[in-house]
Amino acid sequence: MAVCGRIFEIVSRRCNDNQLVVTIPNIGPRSIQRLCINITPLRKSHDLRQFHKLFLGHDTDIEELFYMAFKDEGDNIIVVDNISKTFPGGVKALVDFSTKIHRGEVVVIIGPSGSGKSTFLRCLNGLEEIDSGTIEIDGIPLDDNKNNRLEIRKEVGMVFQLFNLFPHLTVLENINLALRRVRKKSKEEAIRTSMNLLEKVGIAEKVDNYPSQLSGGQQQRVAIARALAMMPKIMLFDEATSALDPEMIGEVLDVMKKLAREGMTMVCVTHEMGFAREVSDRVIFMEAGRIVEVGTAKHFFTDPNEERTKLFLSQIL
Amino acid sequence: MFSKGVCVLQKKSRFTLLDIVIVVLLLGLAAYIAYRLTMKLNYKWNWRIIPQYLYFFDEEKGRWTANVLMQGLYTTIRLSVWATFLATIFGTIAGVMRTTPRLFNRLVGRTYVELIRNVPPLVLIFIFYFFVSDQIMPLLGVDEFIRAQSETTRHMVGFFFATPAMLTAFLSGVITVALFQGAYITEIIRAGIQSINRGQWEAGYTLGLSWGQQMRDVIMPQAIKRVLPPLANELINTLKYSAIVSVISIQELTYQGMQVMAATQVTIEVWLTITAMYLVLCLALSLGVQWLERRLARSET
Repeated sequence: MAVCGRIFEIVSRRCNDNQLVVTIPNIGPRSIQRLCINITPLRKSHDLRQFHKLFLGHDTDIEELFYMAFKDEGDNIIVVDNISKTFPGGVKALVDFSTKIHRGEVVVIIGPSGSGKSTFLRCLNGLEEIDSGTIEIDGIPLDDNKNNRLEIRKEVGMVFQLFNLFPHLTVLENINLALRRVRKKSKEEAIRTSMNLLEKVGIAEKVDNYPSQLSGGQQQRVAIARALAMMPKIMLFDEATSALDPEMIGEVLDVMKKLAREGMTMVCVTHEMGFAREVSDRVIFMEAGRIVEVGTAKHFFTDPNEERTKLFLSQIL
Repeated sequence: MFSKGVCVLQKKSRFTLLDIVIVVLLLGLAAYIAYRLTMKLNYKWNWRIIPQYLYFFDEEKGRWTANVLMQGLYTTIRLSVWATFLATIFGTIAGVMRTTPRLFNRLVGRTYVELIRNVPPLVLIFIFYFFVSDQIMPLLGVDEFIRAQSETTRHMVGFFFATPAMLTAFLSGVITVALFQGAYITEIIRAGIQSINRGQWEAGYTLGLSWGQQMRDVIMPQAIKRVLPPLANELINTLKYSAIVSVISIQELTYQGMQVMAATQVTIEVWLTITAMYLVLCLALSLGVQWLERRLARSET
């Protein structure tokens, strides 16, 4: 509700300021869908249509709008406050790092290697311990309390660079394991859920294969399905396509895009700038454990503020 | 995951000239030794005496019955089976303890391994024999317990363990062998667990599996498969090491061998027979493990 109100507030203020009608020239199906998912009151009323009517054909960027609306208010599912992390040996991975991520937001983290991107991701579900600061996931503090941690582990799915599938289990068993053990589902129910997920990632025919019999892209899609089986509220992608052969990157990115469209909260460390441009709501550029620049993908790739960002982008694009 | 392309060296199946020379030399050496043994050695071979110590015809009962050597073999098998069973349990528990995050557990596991590994097995045997078998077992009342049982129960105990008279010695023998083999198995299990990629733990962790679930469903199945060859080695070692308990008068194969040798003086025949018996047992075990390994390997690729 707050977000919704804030968007209208921003929009109307802009209208008044500039004496012009605000529009959304590049509103795509994704943006509309995200509107529906993120702003429940809008979805339920015909406000959405009015909203579209009002903006369509004019020149305000809806991504920008959302970014501003979300920036400091809204339904924060991840709240990271001032965390620091120094590895044994003195490497500072994160320095006073703070950010908030909203429900349904897709955040892409980019930066040179060693900038602390992966460490940040791994701190979010407790794979790495933070030295100071606080992390809150959907209202649950990530602290020493075991139950809190377990709850967070259940709610936060993670996809790894090297897939980390269980090699001794078949595709189906890989996905079933947590359903049976953690969610305590019956065998039939677990199989049903797993099959649906495999359908979704497009490898239902491989259920009885072992991971070693699959290609890298297929393995990664199984890994995504495995994480999704827990019905997580947040998905973390740690360079999910970096270990793949170029021709397999697309199939994994497609699954990730599908997920984003469905309104999953996603935090992705990636080098796929196309993906960042296409689906992210916000891009965070990190270096040496700090945030250098934050903005929408559009802002990032067309008009970054910082010199450092420009340099980095010129190197990778 | 990435082991798909493991390089398999082409095996050369043909003998080279060097191989043939080596074989010929070895055969020559063997022939020479055999010649010296048969022609020059002042030893009267007497193989005919051996079979009666394996089986003899029991006139009273009217059927063939196992004699001391075969009885020794059975005792060795019983001893090894129980010791292996216990050693695997000890080793697995201590091995897992050595990899837990909790310092106390790791210390307990470590202490066990270092204590056992750095004491000669023979000394351990004596400690156990004179302490456990002489003092602890009577305290626990094992003897009385067995005597109080019915005829059939005692027969069962006799079949699976040892006759009531030998039971306490047998049990302390089993426990000693199990304890020191357990220490070696501990290290193997620990190595197996630690050889599993950290990513496997991380994947289990992010799925919300508890430590125990990760261990049971993810880590151990992979670790066991990986350590099966050295584990099998230890199991065969357990069988071989069981010979050591002959010093506390457990009538297993080696002990019986010494008895027969003392009675008949046919030293070489007796020990060659016993060698063959151990060899058959261990080879069978070894083949069994190979079969198991192949089966396990099949499930993955």
